[in-house]
Amino acid sequence: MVILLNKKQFLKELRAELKQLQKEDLDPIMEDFEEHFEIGLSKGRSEEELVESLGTPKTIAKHVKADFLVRQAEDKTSFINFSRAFFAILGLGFFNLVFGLGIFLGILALLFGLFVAAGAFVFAGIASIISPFIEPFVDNLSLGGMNPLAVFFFGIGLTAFGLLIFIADGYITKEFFHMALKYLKMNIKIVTGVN
Amino acid sequence: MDTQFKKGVLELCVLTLLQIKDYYGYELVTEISKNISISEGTIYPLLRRLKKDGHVRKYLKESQEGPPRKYYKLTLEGEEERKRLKKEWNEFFVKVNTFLSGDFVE
Repeated sequence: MVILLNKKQFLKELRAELKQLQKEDLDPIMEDFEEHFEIGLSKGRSEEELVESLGTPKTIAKHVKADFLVRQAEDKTSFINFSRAFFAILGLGFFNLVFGLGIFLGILALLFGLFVAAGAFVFAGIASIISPFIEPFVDNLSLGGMNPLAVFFFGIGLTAFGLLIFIADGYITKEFFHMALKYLKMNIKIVTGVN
Repeated sequence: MDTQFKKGVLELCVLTLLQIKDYYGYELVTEISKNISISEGTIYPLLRRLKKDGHVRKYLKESQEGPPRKYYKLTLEGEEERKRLKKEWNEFFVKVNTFLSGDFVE
């Protein structure tokens, strides 16, 4: 059995569901609903009737939050903001969890792998740069008869290559988040009815 | 009608209503739910989003019965968006109908 709330309970519950919002974001939303009740009551509808057609505060809060989190991620694209928006939309039950999450994590792992590879190149490059200098002093280190100068420049090349991958990966990652955000926004537009 | 369908066209319905005249929140919400059964409360977040995207704007207007009300007005950008969504909807509608009539080539 569904227990219907009255106006006061409805507003209180909605406010509680949206407690993580800043006051300046929360107030206009609460105003919308207060006005809705005010006008509805003046037109002779009962509080319970109005509450019933509004839907549950939880459903409404889900929509508000998902929308809000996407905006936040847009203003400041960071991994944390992005993930929050992503999971908020998953919470609306719109896209397939396994599908969406699988692709998202797959690409994320790939980008992470590129960062690790870049780090490895830089590390190997630096090792290669310094090895000609420390070779005479370290027992187990040998250039294996290679020209020390060649090893030195090879190291510089390797380091530069690693840094290039690093920078490129940075751009790709940013672009990926932007594109994923667009996709999320598209979904949010579709998810506006009842679940 | 399936809920997924309704969700997709809700934005188009709101923009279409606003093309005819300016509405205040309550009026718009009840007008929509007359024809499409959805949780009325979820239209308010949609209106906020349309406003943030610059598709509608809000203004205060005196009313005979009680305090001034906040009316929503379609902007030029909103009109562009409405046209775009309507075109999309029509294309989709035609494709589905073609399919349903069995009038398609393998």
